[in-house]
Amino acid sequence: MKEFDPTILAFTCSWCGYPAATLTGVHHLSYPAGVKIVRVMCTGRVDPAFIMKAFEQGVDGVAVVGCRIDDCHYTDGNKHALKRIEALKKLLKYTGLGEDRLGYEWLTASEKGKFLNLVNTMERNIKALGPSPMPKVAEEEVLDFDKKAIDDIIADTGAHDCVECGKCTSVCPVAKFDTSFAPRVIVLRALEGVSDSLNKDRDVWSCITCEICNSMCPYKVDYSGFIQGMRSEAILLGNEPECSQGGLLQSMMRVMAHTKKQDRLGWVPPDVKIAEKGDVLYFVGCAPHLDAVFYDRDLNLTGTAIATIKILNHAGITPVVRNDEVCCGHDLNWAGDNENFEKLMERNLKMIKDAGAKTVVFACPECYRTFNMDYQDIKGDQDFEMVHLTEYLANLVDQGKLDLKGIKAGEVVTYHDPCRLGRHLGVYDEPRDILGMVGVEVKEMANTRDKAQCCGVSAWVTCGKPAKQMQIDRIAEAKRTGAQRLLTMCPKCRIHLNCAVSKEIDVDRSLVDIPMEDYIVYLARQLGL
Amino acid sequence: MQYCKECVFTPKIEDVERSPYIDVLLGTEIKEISGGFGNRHVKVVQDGKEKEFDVGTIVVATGSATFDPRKIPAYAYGMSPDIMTSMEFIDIMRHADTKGLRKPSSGDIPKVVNFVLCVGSRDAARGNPHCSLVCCTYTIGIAKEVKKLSPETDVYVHYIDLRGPYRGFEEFYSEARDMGINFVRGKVAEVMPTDGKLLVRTEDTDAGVMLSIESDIVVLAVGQEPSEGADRIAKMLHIQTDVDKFMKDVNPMLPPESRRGIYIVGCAQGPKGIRYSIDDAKTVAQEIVALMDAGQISVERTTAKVDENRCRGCGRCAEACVFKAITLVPKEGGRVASIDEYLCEGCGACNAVCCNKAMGMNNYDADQILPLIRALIQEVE
Repeated sequence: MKEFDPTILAFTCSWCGYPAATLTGVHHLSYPAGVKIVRVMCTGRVDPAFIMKAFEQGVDGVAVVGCRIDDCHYTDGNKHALKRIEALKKLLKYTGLGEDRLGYEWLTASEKGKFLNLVNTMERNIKALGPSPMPKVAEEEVLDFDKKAIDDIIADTGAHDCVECGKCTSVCPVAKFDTSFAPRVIVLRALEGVSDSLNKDRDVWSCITCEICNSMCPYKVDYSGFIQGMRSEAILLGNEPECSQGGLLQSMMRVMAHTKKQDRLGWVPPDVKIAEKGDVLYFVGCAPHLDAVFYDRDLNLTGTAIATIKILNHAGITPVVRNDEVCCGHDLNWAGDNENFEKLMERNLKMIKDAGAKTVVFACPECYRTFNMDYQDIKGDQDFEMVHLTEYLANLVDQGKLDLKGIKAGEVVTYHDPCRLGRHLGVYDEPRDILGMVGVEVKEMANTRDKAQCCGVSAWVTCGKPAKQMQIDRIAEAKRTGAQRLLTMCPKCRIHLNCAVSKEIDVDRSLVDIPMEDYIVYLARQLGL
Repeated sequence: MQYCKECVFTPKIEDVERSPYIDVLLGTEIKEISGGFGNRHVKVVQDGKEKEFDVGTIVVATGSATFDPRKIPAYAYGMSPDIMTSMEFIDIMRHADTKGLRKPSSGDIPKVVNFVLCVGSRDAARGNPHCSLVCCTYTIGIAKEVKKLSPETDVYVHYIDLRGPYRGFEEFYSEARDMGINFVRGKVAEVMPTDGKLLVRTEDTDAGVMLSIESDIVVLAVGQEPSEGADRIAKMLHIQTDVDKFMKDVNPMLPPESRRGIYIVGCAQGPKGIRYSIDDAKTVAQEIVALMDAGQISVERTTAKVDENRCRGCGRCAEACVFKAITLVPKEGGRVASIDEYLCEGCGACNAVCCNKAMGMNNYDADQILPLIRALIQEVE
């Protein structure tokens, strides 16, 4: 068998990294043939998405080579690069690609030895790890417009019932800020069979799939399902979404669809009880991964996962938390990548079977929606029950098995219904009831329950100006209730709402000045956990 | 080894004033500088009258000011005419050849003269953290002159370290020691005016003894700091300032034609001796002549760019930009990032932090790098 030669992509800065690599040639020194150089001006320009995309496409290793720390020609580009690399290494560890696949070196232009040492060491380490589990990239194939597939989507979602009343457009939060966008028109274009529009239609990617239109449509057209289907077709025609974070998150999920040995439970603290097998499984989702991606935002999304386990322990349950769990695939499903979505689904269903779980508890509304609706759409009914944490707790209280007592009564909060948990799954009461049980008063926003405004971004493809305006509006609405804090259930809502106000905003800061916290973390604190 | 201000500058000043090609505007304030590379418009006010010029190249030679010793009350500057800065002492020395060296308060010949080095320099708590580079050399020079004028006067030089990284400095210093000048290592704690005398209190850290020197004259060797108004000029020309608040040269790695037609020379860039300021000026003069001689040049620069449709106006890019090249400007009810191409150095830090990838870059755009990555991975197979 031919020995495996790793492909290593080396991002080198223009001032030190690249000349050092060149100097090896000038001195007739050889480095592994699999090392491929990508020159950038500064390592601070190396977008984490570049590295993750390279891994997604099957590269075996990535090296980042820049000037010595404190010698950056742009002051501190390499310091920022180092922070990003450390965060990415965490992600590589969690996903099971292996942190040794990402290497870095800070050197001066003359230190060719350091460069050689880096690539040689990396080659050795990667040979030990083996080739990347990712399939190697193929030539991008652009398919022709498939009229029948579109017709199927129209039939499945009831889109032909559309009477063009425009009610969807009038309630659409995107249309409110982006007047060129109209949900009705996308349906209309599909009905008219306009074949050349889908390959460059940006509107299919502008929808935030919040389903406020579904709930308003007099003819019950499944608008979000229609968009989901159209996106899969759009991808086949070469119409790609403009992903926020440069597609880093989608790449991460695609990597998870293929890697074998994950190290997913690195975040679990020693003071909680979890099991490998059992009746009740807690499906964590990607919150700890997202913490690694948004390392500079101080969000502590992992806190949600820890709080969930603590609450379950408090209720006398030792939940199953599995290392072989993978991303639910929600964002790939909504970004039109059916192939990898189904891979993730198969892995998760196998994981639950292996765990022998009868009940799967979710904290993340997106995971819950994906299991409950999308997995079932494809695989039919499952032999395990799916509940949201709040539903599960409310049920335990009803059965008299649990008594929820808050340690600090009298707080006033407002609760933001995530679209997945609310409109998609109809869970409105339980989160409010539980807060009531622990002695917390919920003040409702002007738009609440099925009319709740969306956090503006879905599946990391709709981040833009309208999204920011939606987010600011939503937080201002929360502030106007006079509540002490805004609770969100979905980690994405928290990331998005936090992002909108964390830097420059165009409105008076006092209008949006309200502390935001994760519902479950807050609940755990109220329970004294 | 020293360059003397008079013999170097006096003939130059004459030349400049006589030249038909040079307009010297004295007592003039710069109001505004607009325009870009090679095409700048300068508004000045001289004696209440506004004047305007179109210029291609600008040389910033705002020089430096001396540290105000009043900021260190322990040195009692201003409480006695016998405590003076080195500049004031040099003025006295200028007239000493005819009148002899005299103590300002009484007119007597001074018996003891103390020089205090590093006043306001290398002193982050009371002055500037940086070293002013020239004080050791000029102080030794003046001290030697004092000794020559009146050999019976005791001269003390109080120093932390003697720094003179110039050819000939060591000999210059040894000569001073041989002449009988006392070098005392230690930072002077205080200067106290008492009964017409000055008491200089310090520790001789080499000998480990406390000293109280009764002195007639105390000379404070004040350090250099940016001159007044230099920060305003720097702002107008988008010149970065360094940690010591002096101006930073535009990236010295860039060829002259890429340096925006703005040159910073002499002490505007930081503490410098006369010799080095002259060297600066010579280099810059040559570069300017070459640049102006070419008349018109074209420069390809790597700079960032903004996709205004994708920009959320969050300002993460502006925060990441060390060159302060990005500002948020109003657009359609919100704000979007806007790049000053003259300030942008093209590092791409903004590209990496942009959440929605609204930031792009000439030559190193994601649309160029991602296909390159793809092609490199495919090439291996």
